[in-house]
Amino acid sequence: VTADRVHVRVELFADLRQYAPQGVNGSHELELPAGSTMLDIIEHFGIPTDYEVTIGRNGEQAHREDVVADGDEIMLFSPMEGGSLASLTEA
Amino acid sequence: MSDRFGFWNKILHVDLTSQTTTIEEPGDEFFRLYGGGRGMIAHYLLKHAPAGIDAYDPQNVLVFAPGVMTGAPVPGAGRHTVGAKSPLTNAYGEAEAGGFWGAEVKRAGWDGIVVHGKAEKPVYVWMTEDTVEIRDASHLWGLETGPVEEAIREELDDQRIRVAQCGPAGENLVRFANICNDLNEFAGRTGLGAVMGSKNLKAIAVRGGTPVPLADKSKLTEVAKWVSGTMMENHRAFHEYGTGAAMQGKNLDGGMPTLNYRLGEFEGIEKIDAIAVANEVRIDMGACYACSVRCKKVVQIEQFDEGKTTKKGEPVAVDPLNRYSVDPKYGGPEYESLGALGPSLGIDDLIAVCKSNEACNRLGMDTISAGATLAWAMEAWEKGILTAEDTGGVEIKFHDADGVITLLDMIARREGIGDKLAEGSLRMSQELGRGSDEFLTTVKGLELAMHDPRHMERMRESYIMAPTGGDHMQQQGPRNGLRNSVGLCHFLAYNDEVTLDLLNAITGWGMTQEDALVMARRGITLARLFNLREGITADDDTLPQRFREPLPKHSGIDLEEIMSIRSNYYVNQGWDPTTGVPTEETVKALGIEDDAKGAELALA
Repeated sequence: VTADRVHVRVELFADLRQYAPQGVNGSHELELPAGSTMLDIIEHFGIPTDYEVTIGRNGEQAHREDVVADGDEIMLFSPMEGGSLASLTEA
Repeated sequence: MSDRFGFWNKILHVDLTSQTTTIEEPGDEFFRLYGGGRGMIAHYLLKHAPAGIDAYDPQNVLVFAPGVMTGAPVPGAGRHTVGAKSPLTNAYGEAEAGGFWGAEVKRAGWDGIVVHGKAEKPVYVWMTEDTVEIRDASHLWGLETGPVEEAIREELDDQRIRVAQCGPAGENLVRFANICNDLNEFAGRTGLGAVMGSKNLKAIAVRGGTPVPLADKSKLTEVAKWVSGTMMENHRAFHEYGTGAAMQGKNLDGGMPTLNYRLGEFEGIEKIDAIAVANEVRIDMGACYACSVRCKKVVQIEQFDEGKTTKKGEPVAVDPLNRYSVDPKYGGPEYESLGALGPSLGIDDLIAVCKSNEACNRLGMDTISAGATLAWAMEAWEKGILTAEDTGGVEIKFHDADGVITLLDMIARREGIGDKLAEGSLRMSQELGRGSDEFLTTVKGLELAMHDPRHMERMRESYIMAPTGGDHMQQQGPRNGLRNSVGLCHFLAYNDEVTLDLLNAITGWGMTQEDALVMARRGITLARLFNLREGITADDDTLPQRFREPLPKHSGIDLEEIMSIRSNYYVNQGWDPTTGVPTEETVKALGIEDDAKGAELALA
């Protein structure tokens, strides 16, 4: 078994849904080079890196620098309540 | 051709004591100054409500205030504001609602309604472009919101009439009663429904049909097309789920208010978030006036399986325990309702939460304050501070989903222990004593919303400084402060430039960003002047003890930080850095010297 690629499932929630591919509902599979981090996934979707993102991995909180493992179920959230990120962006 | 755009220069004053109505034409400068909404409400409160009156005194004024943007054909312009002195906080009371009613008021040729006095018997107001009538409402008194709307439409023989009303909770002076419009929209916070009930005013029914004149309609069409054309880029989460789609994330972050704000994580969160709502009980998404985002959940649940299907042909959800049906005409739970009636009470039963939400909606109560008052009472019960002796034998326990539904009904009708709970958590705690104030979650008497300020730093200023008390909507800031005056939804992702373009396209005023900022600040300072006049001081700009304590994943907020947030805010607003009293220069710069006289206050 070559370990140079990993497969994970990723789902985007709340304000981050705008970065999910059109038509995608629920989680979808991603193939990534082994050693990829959560940050790589964030960048993969084009989510701005300064965006506040809460990361869940297999139901536990994870961090940007964490390396993903094959088979991970990853959830990305805006910690803001649906759209309230927009409502909180002050001039 | 009129050169007046975005408003009609026509405010309706209804005096319920004398049963008379008058029309005020306050002039163009009035609208340019206040913008409607908050600015207008604070102006009328300072002008007409004598200092220090009880909120239920007939001299309190209840103001229904669309803004200059309300009713324009562009997404987000379906909002209106309602205000009065609050019976919950004794301070400036204000709440916003969407739907269609506010736009209908504008389309009937009116810019606002100021209700004075108190009717001898229950009445409702019926208004069109040509007529205003004060009609008998004795037959509507005591009815829930759905039957009231139906009866009014029936007796006036028009199914397109829009109705704003207080429910039985408002009639019974529940201090967190709301004002409902279109059955599924609510001016929820600060107990304005109780002010309406105290005036014996059951409803305001309106029917219009004349578009508000616009300075530049093509700009609005362009922005409306941008919203619908970029839905997936800018409003996807709202469009697909409405509010409540981030609850699992909030939970992972340790910031989901749980068991009266003692914890930040709730096991079972995925059973009651907006995704669960969409998968289990949602039949549709509803819209507000002129809005393509359609962020309003509509839920339906049947008590028994009778094979009902939605209009899309899908089966309607059935309560597996055959306890409850939930009527879709009352909409569905927003995030705040899911949070306040779910994790905050230790409940992960989605069907029961939807039923609690429906109960609040048809009885006319704010879901946040109702839920938070119950959460406080449940903690008191758990601690043995509140006992069966106090409650007449009724148990008030966390995790008791069915008990909550019974209690909500008792609150709305002020039956048994419901009569005490109807006072809100602060007053009930003051009466109960026994150290029960240590776990209150109120600022200025208003229960905090479902965003923990220990988790969300940016909520701190909102809770500490909102003129209405523990409010999460950032209404103390320039963005939403402006939106609450002009009548624009907080949820639309317009940046400042687009917001200003819209405001100018509607009014033709040619405002600058600086002008818009000044308009927002004017409303904020007017509300501050009212609060100071009513005896609210800098000491009230704080957070309760509960939030000084840490959460498992977040530290408590110390007094030093609270003091720093408030003095920075005071300075930003041009108020005295210690007392929070607006300076003479600020009042002059905002052009509200006359209003300030109504505050009977020594300016800083």
